[in-house]
Amino acid sequence: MNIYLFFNGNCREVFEFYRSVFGGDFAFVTTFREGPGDMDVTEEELDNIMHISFPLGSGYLMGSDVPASFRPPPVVGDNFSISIEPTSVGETEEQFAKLSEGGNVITPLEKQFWGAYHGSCIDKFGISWQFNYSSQE
Amino acid sequence: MSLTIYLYFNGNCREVFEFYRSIFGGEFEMISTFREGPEDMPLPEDVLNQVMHVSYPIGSSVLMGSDMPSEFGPTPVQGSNFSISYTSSSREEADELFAKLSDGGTVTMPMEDQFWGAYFGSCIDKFGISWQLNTEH
Repeated sequence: MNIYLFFNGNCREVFEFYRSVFGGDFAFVTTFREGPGDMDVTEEELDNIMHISFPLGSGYLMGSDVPASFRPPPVVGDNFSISIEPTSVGETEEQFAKLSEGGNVITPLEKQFWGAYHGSCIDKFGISWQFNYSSQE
Repeated sequence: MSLTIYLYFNGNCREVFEFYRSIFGGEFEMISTFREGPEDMPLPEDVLNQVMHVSYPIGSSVLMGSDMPSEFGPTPVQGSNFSISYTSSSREEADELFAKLSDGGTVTMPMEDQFWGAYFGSCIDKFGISWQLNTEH
């Protein structure tokens, strides 16, 4: 089970940002130019992302742009977030700082009543994240 | 590092997760209500039975969620910029899951063989959550 994000033309920029935060490489990236010739896609949309897959921890973050002919432009909601369980406090702080840069910190990293070091933010592209580090101490 | 999808609801989180459990089977790994939270949570009696956290293993990953009482912030807004992508082990399983998930919801793309080599379909379930089902073959 993976999370799939839809964008309105800036999918590549968003995923490059995530790669700069988490490191690693895309498992797969393809544009509409590489799709079947009969796709209803405009010239300007041909270099938009048809599918991208980015290994992140135990799963994959996937995404694409949505051509205007496919359906209405994606609307950013706030009924979900991507939850990350990092492996150390240092990693948590570093990634949280990078990810929230230019965005909004919703709850700063703090020890919470359920025993984890937790914080949440909305990145500059409107995607919500939670960091939850459960220390073994 | 683990990666999880976290969904927010407006009071019907338990109903939604029970619906998913009726489809994918298995058990919740953890479910707690605000009644079980710290006593200083400023919540009215009728909100105390709402879900503070639910964690539900599906396949090799975990779907998590909670309700979002208005005391904590604005009501979650349903967007159209993400979906949950599930890879099925067989066409039969994909067909069965797809039929159940889309029951009372909307089929956005019926299950069909796609140019990228997968048997694929997408739907929005009756609670407004978007799903993609994919079977490699």
